[in-house]
Amino acid sequence: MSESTWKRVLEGKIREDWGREIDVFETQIELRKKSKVEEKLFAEARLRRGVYGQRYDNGQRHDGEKTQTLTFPTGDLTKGPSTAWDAPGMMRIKLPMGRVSSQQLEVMCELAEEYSDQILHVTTRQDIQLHFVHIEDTPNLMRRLAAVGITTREACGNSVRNITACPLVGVCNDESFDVSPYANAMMFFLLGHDDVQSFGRKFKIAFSGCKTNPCGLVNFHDLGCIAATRTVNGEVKRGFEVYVGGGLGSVPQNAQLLEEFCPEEELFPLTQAVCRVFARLGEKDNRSRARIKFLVKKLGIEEFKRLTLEERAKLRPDERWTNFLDNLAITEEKPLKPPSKLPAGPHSAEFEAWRRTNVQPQRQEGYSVATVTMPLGDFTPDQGRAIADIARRYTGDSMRATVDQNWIFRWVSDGDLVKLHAELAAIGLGEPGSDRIGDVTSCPGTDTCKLGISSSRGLAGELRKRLAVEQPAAVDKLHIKCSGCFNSCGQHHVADLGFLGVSRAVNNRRVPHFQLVVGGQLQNNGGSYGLALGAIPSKRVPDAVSRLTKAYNERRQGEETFKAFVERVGKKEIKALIEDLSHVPPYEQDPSYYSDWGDPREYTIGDIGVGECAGEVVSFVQFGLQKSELEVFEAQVLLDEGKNDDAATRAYRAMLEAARALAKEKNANLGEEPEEIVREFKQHWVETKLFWDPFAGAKFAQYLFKAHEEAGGKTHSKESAHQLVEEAQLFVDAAHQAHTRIGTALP
Amino acid sequence: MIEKIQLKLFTKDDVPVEGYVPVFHRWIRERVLDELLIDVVDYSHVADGPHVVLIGHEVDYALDRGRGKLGLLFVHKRGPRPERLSHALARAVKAALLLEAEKGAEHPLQFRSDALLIRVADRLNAPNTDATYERLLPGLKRDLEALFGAGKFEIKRVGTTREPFTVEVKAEGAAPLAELVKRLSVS
Repeated sequence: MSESTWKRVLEGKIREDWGREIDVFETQIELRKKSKVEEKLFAEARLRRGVYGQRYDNGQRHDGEKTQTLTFPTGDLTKGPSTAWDAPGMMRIKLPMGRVSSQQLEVMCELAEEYSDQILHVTTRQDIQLHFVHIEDTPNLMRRLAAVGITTREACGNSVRNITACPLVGVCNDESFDVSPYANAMMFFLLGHDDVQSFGRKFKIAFSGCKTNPCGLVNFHDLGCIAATRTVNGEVKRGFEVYVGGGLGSVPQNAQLLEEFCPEEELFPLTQAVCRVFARLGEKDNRSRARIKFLVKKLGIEEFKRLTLEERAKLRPDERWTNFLDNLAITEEKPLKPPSKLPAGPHSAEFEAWRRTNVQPQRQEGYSVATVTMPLGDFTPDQGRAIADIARRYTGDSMRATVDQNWIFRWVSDGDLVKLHAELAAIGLGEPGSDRIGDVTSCPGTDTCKLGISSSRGLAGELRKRLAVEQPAAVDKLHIKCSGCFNSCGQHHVADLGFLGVSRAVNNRRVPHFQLVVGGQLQNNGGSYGLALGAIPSKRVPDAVSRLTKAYNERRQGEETFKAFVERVGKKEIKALIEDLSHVPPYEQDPSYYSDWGDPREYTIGDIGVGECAGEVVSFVQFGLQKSELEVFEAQVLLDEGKNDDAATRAYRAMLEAARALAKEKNANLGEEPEEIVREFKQHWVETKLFWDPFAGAKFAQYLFKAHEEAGGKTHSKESAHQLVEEAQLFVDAAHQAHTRIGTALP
Repeated sequence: MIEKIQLKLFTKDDVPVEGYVPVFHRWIRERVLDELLIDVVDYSHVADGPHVVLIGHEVDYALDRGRGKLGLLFVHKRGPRPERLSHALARAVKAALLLEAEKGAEHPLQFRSDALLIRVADRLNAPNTDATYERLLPGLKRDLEALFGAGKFEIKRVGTTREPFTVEVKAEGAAPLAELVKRLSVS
């Protein structure tokens, strides 16, 4: 009996192309173990599968007294620069719009139990992350996700990341229309698209159904789309306000208006054109200035727009631009139960408290959206399975992860709210306080992130505990967000009170601090960013929060927002309120300042590694050539198995892949038809003698031409298949040489 | 061979475990266990889950409150598979005894020897089905008899098919852990 494997068990349940991609990744893993794939190339390939590094994966960890070496069994083998093979890593699971079915959630719970540390984590971009995952477990993990319709492709790396959207789309009172089908179709359109493979950095897209509410946070995205309508000749026309070049990080920038009204049928080509401009002109060498916001700033929005429209005009028409418009109902959700009214009370105090903060009525009468407050975005597999059951009982397959690291049920019939809350409370998830001051958002920080400077999760956990007591109404409505470093994954810029991890040297020792940022704005899609007021020792941050909220509560005028309060009172006076908290006593007097929240080790910044947010710059050509090499490898395996025709097909495909990778450099519109690839390759590389061996001339190119002529019409013997595989290998080698010769290869 | 085995030794009392974060950090620093330990994670904000986890390369050790019962959860992840249950159990009990010996802890831990949870987190090779139970039962019985004595324990399969294969073991009047560990080392 053959050994049971997930690949075999899930055969027929995974989309063919997704299954093939995972097989290729598994082959890449095997080749990397034999050092047959270059380190940086493998790193970017792994990142583009959502397999991320984690703190200490360089094999060094400060134990509070000294740095110790983590001696992993595989020794010097790496999965990227300074990244030990065996070091546990993070698996990011991208969930477009944060949307999850019960079945998908159950599978993710299984994966957390079998491959991770028994915890699932909701991120600030509607993903789920599993931590402490071994790279060799990832292909099976991906297969199990793919079998329920989830791909991790391009969850990390220099590509289009998860596409986020307001979690209330479709049920919100304020939206122009439901953006779900657009966001969903765009995710599939851009997934693996040729035009998003050569970015210098990542690219994040967000959708929002309205302009005023905070949920979509379009303003700080690389590309943001806000639903809008126009009436033309009496007909309501759907479209989007399109923004570009927003971003947080150390240089936060508001997105700029690219198109006031982009008709729905023009959204995808416009996006594709933006991607092409970014890939072509975006910074590649200086990683800290490679996001699109820098390009937009450098060119100016008018020039960027001109280039985008110029690129748009050159695009080859693609039926996927508009096909999805025929089926906008594809993402439509239907309630499981009929609408109903909440039974007359009295209800328990716990329920009323939860209802006040965690329930909001839908546009559809008789239904509500219920938010599950997830402390720090974490939950267990048991809780996840219970959530899946609750969804099946009350709402149908309709849940979404939110950027606040919570979870929402949509379409809860109002009459079920009491029971639903009781069931959540039974699994420890019935806490009130969603979207309130105690519902603190945080990135992973020093817990698991290689770039973390201070413990954002530790701080967020401490603030959650302290703010759990009843707060004055005005204070309760404030938002706190924490980031472990300037990369701002905690989105602290748009909070009323934001904290950004920094370190300070005091008497020759390092002390964890947080930079205080006040007065950001969540409204208007993260409409404006707060002001930095100076660094506070981590251990005094809760006191700072206490003083600032107290001052706001006592001195606010009317319905003044915190942002308006800060602007009226002035930075100087606000800073004076907390000035004394910046003092750090000597270590001998109070050593507690010298360790971070939740981490008793003496604080150090020695554990900061090289981040992988920036990925590795790998061009489309390099990826294509690597893919062609994998095809040759697969052909060799098939040849060994006596599958001659399959081996010959793979060998031909390897040459086509390599030829396409090269030809695409000369013609961005190149399609996938073999005839077109061969023609373009011949025109741009062979006739120009770029693909030309100093001794053999066009000999290697002829291998492709001959294989192309014979493709599909020939039965191969072992000898003829063997010859073709050999020729494919020579062709791929020649492609590498040609690419290097013209100087476009990266060092 | 047992794939991805997890064992939980329950504590006698339910106590706060946040204080064991520094303990586990010290275990890493002083290389208390003869294996590669990597980091400590505090999930005490999560209800009924792994609260404080000592992450290792082969094994994680979690002070776990799953299903509301506090215990030490031994999670074998990779590396040489324990040939028998008793080999995994020996490592889990060793860690439990070390935790009991942490006398400076604000909330000392004491572990029961009369109850045990055994889980196999491998749905491919050991789904939570009757067939898996029948296949694994003889091996489990053999090892548990060596530990508790023939007829001195009960095994009960628990959980649904969605959950990992799990059995609970009850052994009334079992010897203390320190005694059991001696039997494990000679079995």
